[in-house]
Amino acid sequence: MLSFIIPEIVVLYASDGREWDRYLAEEFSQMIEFPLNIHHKQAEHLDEDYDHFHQQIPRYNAFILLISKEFLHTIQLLSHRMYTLTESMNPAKCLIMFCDCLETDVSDGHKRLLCGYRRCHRLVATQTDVKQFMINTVKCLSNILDLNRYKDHRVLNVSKKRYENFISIAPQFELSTDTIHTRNERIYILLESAVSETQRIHVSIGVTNDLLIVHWKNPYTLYFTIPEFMISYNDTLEISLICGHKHLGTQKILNTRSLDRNEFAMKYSLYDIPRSASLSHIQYRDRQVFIAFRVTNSLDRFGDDLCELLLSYLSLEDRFRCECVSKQFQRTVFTTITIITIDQKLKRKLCGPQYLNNNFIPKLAKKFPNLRTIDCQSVSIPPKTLFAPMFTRLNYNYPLNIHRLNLYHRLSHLKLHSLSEIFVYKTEFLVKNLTKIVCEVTTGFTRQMMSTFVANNRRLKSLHLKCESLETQLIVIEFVDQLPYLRELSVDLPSDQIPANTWLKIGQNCRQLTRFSLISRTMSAKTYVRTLDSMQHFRRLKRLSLKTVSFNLWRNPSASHELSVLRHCRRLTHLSLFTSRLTTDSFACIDQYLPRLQHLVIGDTRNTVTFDSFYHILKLPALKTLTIDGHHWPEVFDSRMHELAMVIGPKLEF
Amino acid sequence: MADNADHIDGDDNEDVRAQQNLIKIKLKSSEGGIYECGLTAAKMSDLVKNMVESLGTDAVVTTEPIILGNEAVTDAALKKIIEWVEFHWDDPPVDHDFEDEKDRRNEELSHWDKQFIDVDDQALLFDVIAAANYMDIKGLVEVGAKHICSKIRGKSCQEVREMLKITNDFTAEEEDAIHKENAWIYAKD
Repeated sequence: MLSFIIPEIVVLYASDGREWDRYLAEEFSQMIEFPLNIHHKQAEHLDEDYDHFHQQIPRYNAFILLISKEFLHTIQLLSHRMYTLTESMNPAKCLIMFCDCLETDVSDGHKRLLCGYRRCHRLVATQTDVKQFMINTVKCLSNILDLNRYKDHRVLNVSKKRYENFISIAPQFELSTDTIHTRNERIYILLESAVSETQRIHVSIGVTNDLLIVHWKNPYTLYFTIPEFMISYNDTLEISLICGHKHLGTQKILNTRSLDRNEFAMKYSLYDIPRSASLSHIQYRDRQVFIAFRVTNSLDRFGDDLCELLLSYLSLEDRFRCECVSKQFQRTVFTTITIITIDQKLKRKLCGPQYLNNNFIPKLAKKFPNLRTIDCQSVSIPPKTLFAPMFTRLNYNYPLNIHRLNLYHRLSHLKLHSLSEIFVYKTEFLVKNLTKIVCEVTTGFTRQMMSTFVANNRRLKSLHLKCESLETQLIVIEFVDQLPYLRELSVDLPSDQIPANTWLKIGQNCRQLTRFSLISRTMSAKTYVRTLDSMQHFRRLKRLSLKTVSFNLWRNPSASHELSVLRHCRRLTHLSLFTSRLTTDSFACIDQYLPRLQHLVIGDTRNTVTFDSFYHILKLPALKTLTIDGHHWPEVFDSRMHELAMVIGPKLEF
Repeated sequence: MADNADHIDGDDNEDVRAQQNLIKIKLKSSEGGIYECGLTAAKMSDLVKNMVESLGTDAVVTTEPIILGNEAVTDAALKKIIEWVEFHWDDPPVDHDFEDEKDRRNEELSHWDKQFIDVDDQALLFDVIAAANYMDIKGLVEVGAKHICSKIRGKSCQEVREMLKITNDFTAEEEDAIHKENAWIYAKD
């Protein structure tokens, strides 16, 4: 919560200055957008609790003395009190106002008793030009309080326009003589239709027909304070809301003790509270009933920042549709877009059947003030564009315009048909400093090409390659360990012929590798087990996927394997295995090896995963999803499903 | 060797988290209701976490409840929030790996979260979201945001306004102008 110092102000007045005191408090709350804590003290009652009051003096930030005829009289009566009091006041913090009297009325005797009188700020209140007087007062007060030092943009705001609106409607001196005890306790009124700041709504309490001024908080919330004296003498307060001549509603408030929300709602029908409002607080504190209502079931209650956050999960199309819901939506709905993906569908909407041209960019840039990045998904890029640097991700299905790459110097993600293309079109030097590349490696790709590519893209983080032949496979595998920043590696290999120490080398050099996916189109069970075994070199791995397409080499039953080899990869969260030889024992203790595993996929074409294996699998403490691929669900499982359901934790989605 | 040490730390942390969640601290709503919540669960709120860290765990456990002064933190909202953090405190930490952000945004809510957030009382829903935002529980705000966005999906402006009780502060002309400007996005494929 924001905390700031609330200036403490003391207003000292005499009985005939009470109107002025009340009027000032009212005006300050209208004109000063900074909260003030105003203490009211009647001069005649200075004797009561004087010591306590006197001790508190250094704590106050400003003093306002409302000098009236009665006040001058009181100075004489309580001369000693007045002297000690003014003595301890800092005259620079003191503002003296002459109400219904003039400076000449103050005799030397008075001045002697008012310590530091000559150094105080002095103002004469006039009823003829009350506007200028108030502006002067507020300026003077702001000098005293030195509000600028609070570094708060809500500092004192003497807006003439606002003031004029106020002065034309506000009751001026027709206030009754009752004391107002300004407290933080307020009563809020909520309205069904928005009211502007200048519309005035009044509240009358009980039969007295006193109108209380209602403060404007926001278009739906107004608040007022019930004077303390009314609460202490009435058991039930009948509060009526009046706007102009229109009676808005009446509500009774029982003045007894603290009520809770439900109790209140039961006791008092809230017929004059709009549907969209709900009761928020009712407290009985310091002899005051504090009631607050607020609009809680309307999205309007949220500020722009929360609204922006909520709307940031909308799709692009929904954002456009929602733009005209309200001005808040218009302000917030597009600001969170920093990246836009242009796919075929969006391209058609932007440019029709033609190629992507430049016309759409201003269209988007106007709407999305924070747009920095454009992704192209299977869309040909525009020929020449000033916005080329915005594009960081390209997804090529069109080898033809690859030569334009030189414009797109901010490219970080590239998807190509074949890695050889960049050499064919002599753009190999343009494809550099990439973070991610997805492509195939076709026949004809040479060691030289791979070496150039790796040298230009040392900081590559994500590499997805599909090799066409054994020859290219060996080239690619050879160079992977030269990419020290690699975090994600996905290789699709035609063969299982991989040099013996390859995984060791990659594990040692690519220390940041967290995701590894290997698809081998032919792989013997023996190699599979060996590969699984070599995963111990990838200790930081979080996601592992090992797949093979051919199963004809898997006949050898002796190649059953243990998942315990994965015990070195304790950080695994995603594991995808394709296997035919997992026995119940393979899963034993899996929960100890892989404590963080969340998603497990088992490609099991031969139904080797037995029911008992589930008991091991389901012990995994963090497991969220379990997928068994290609399993012909044996009938016996159905009957035991309920057993399984008992084991499945509440978080597991099966 | 370093790697092994890391692993042991990680497991220890999980144990410590589980143990700490047995410690109950008290949270006080703006309406005055006091509710108990496991320490680790409560620390999912950055606001509570900061308070606990600055006060020291012992002080929090033995002394006064932590006061959540924002008016959105009603009794009902706080109960909901505690229900959520008590269910989610042992979630694995978010994988800050690259490119996860977009995936996570698009990820569907889990079944439990969907049931949790689908409350009939819209005022309560908004209280929960506002309170979660105040208490700085990012995961829960995200659940709320996804829920609201899923409700907005495919609806017209007027339907959205009626559903979320939003005041239309546009004039008819302004609204038409926006519709015209955005016409291209509604074009049929």
